[in-house]
Amino acid sequence: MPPLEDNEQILYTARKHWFMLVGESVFIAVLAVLPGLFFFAPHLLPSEFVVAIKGLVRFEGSYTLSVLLLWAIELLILTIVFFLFWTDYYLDVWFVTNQRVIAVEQRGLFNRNISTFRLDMIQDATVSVPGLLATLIDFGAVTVRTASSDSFRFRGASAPSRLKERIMAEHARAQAEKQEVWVKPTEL
Amino acid sequence: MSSLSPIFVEETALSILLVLVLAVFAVMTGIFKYHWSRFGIPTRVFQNMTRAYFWISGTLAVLSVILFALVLFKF
Repeated sequence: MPPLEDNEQILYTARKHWFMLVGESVFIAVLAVLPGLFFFAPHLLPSEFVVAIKGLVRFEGSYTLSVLLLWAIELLILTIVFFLFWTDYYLDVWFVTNQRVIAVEQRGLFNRNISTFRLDMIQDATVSVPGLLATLIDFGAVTVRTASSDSFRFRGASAPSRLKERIMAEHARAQAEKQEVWVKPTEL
Repeated sequence: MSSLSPIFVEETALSILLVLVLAVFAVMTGIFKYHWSRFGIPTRVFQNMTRAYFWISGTLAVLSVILFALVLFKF
């Protein structure tokens, strides 16, 4: 969590869409249930596959216990892999505060990029929704360009239009505050 | 068609595998703990998920050790 400045408040938090995590986790889920299907419901799998695996792996001692042990070990590894994906997913976040936008991009566990840009420096924001599925479940990319011609992109954002509207609304408010002229009453 | 030589699942192979996986689990748990405490976000979802990791992975690690002990006993 990046430190906030004095009088700074988080107004909106944008995260990646859940579909990004589900898309990465489908393979893990298949691998997790495959040994269970193989040993407890082999009729659900292609018979060639079952015969090939039975020919390839020979068990010495208790078959059931060895299989359960291998399955538990596999699930432990898959749990670690899932939480690696989840950390990457959950810590990719944009905070819109009353002063700036803080963009946190997590790539793996130790590759982290935090960018901030002030609301009054924003030039424009663009939303791109890549296709039918993205339209139906509401995810897409938000790109914000700043006055210093840097651009910041949040891929796979949940409710991208709402994020863009919030950023532009706060940008308009920041611009209005900047242009206001405060006249200090002079003492006579 | 060439046939692959079979993999024998026996006591020594299982013990080596278990030690390796438990070592990876210990290292990854340490890394997650450090990472989440340093870069985590104080939301309820985040706290619940990190707690879930420790429960699920801890349970699976203990279960693996128990099953290995049972495998040894049955051998």
